[in-house]
Amino acid sequence: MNNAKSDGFFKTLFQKKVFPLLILLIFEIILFSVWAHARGSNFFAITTLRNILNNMTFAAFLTIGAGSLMLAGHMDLSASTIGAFCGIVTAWCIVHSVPWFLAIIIAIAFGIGFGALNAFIITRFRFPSFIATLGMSSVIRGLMFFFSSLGMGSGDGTAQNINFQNETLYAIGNQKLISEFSICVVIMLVIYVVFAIIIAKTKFGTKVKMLGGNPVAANLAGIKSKGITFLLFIISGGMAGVAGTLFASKMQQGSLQALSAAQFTGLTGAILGGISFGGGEGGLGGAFVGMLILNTFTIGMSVCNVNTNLSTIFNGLLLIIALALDFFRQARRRRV
Amino acid sequence: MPKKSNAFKRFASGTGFKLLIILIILIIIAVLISSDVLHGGSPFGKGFFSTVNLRSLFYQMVVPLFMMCGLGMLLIGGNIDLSVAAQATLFNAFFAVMCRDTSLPWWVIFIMALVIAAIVGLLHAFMVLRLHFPAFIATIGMSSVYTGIAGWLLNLTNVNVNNAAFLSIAKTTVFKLIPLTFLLGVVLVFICQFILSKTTFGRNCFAAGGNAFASRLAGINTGRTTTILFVLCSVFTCLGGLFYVSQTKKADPTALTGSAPNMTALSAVMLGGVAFSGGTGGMTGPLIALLVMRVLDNVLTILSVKTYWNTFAVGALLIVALIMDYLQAEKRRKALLAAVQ
Repeated sequence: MNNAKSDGFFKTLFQKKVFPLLILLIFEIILFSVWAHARGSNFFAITTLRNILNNMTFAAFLTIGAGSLMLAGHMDLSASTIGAFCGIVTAWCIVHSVPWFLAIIIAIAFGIGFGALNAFIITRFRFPSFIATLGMSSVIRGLMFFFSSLGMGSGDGTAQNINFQNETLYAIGNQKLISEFSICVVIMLVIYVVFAIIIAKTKFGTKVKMLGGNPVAANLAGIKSKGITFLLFIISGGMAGVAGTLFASKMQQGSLQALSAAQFTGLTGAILGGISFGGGEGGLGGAFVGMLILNTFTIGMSVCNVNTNLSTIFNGLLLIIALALDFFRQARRRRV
Repeated sequence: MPKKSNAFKRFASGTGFKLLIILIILIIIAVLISSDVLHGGSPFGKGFFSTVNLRSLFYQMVVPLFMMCGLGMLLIGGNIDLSVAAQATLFNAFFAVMCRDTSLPWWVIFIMALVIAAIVGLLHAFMVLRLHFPAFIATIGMSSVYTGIAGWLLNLTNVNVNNAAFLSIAKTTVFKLIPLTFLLGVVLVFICQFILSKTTFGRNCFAAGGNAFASRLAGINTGRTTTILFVLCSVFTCLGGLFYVSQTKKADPTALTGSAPNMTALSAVMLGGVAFSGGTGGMTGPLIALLVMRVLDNVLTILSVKTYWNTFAVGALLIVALIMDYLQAEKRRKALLAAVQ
């Protein structure tokens, strides 16, 4: 798009993938505001925004990993399991009276380690990442259940959630920092912005997108695909580790089922936000809007007190609508 | 060289053969640890080969088996459907509610469910072909639509089915051992394998999955192929789901989405040598892979290790299989290079 600037700001915006999503988001907000008003409750309030951000915090970390991997044409289905593992590690460390900062470092190191392991088997044995990480997620889940039983409870090897109490970690998870927003939401926003800038503005980000767009051409252009794949999987594992640790801190529990729903939310958020499945197109900013749409919807449904079955149906339809919007945008571009 | 030995050679170098060896080893281990063979008794009667154990093993495989047939062919054709578990839940709900609220004979409702399944398949094909939605994400979206509708139909509780004729489908066994439904699933696998390897339609599936653009240029109607594959996938899923109802005597809003037989089926398909990107593989490999996964599960249960080691083992198996594939491909590449030089 060389002539983007001369076309003016709005035309550029209109051609961006994010544009229909922003409209969808605004439409959602208006819809729920009116609907909630009709039902006598209030949607357009700061507490709603807080709930939305709280709801999406952990999935957003997974979106960073999933989104940047998908840009490079890869996928990590083990991220939520890695996150849960790291949560268990945090809890285990605290229970065994390891200082809280060391516990966090150990947990995130585990996340990075698993990410590196994923990257190793994918680059060394040329596995398709979808299936390799599917296998790894089973392996890690098994290890996590085993680990959670180590030296805990009755000691007969039964897997269990690990409860713990630590004031600092509780504060990180729940303390409000800026008006209504807790420390962990602020951490999420900061890290997200940093990664969005890295992907959008740095050489590394460009390389990632080239790798996803056309791996052969990228290789010929001298881009070291192995190194980038390694880094991306480490980012994904590390972010999953951060999410798992924060989740455990917030709940004061290392849960075996932690983040299990966040996997697909993170992935669908990224896809909804315009990161194409084959890679090469999109950015983390769009993915954030995608996440906002998904979570605004969930919270809106609960504010308006919608029946669960109906909200499940609407959730699915929302994805279809987003896909349809993208289709019409592309159809218009094709005609031009 | 005679044709037969060629076919054997091809099989011996494929994924299916390796899996078959693993399967046989697993079964031997299972028999050794669970029966009285080591004490001079017979391998049958107790442990792995006991009627009770085998029958439960077969019953567990019915749903993944049917899903596997549809998913495997769809994947070979270069598409994917992640909504099969939700679809099965929906058809089950439809069947159970219709049985409860209407006086139609069960087979009419059965056929109606199959027709709805076909329509669902057409809908997916429409989304993927006409609207150019990525199949992966569109089917995730639709799967929550189906789950929602099923929940609404069932009012989020179990609905029992007590039509004797329908329930007898799952009860029927051959030699008092192999359930009819399981046998049908296995037959379906071989039919699919035959279609894939011997018919023009099968050839078209491989072509569409391998390189859709080139096959369109070669005059193959890839759109029609994909549509048929989506419809078949939904119809097979519906069959598997309804047999599951017949087996459990009820429609459950969460059983199938919770135990994720679609993930079992998908793992089996990939373990069995179908590439995720489409265009390669067959159906016998996945069948053996499914058997391996289930027998492994069974062995670990007999050994009474904690269930989480099953989860671990399935993942490890997947990765080991992939590494073996890689090593073999590498060997072939080296041999080729040597031949060229």
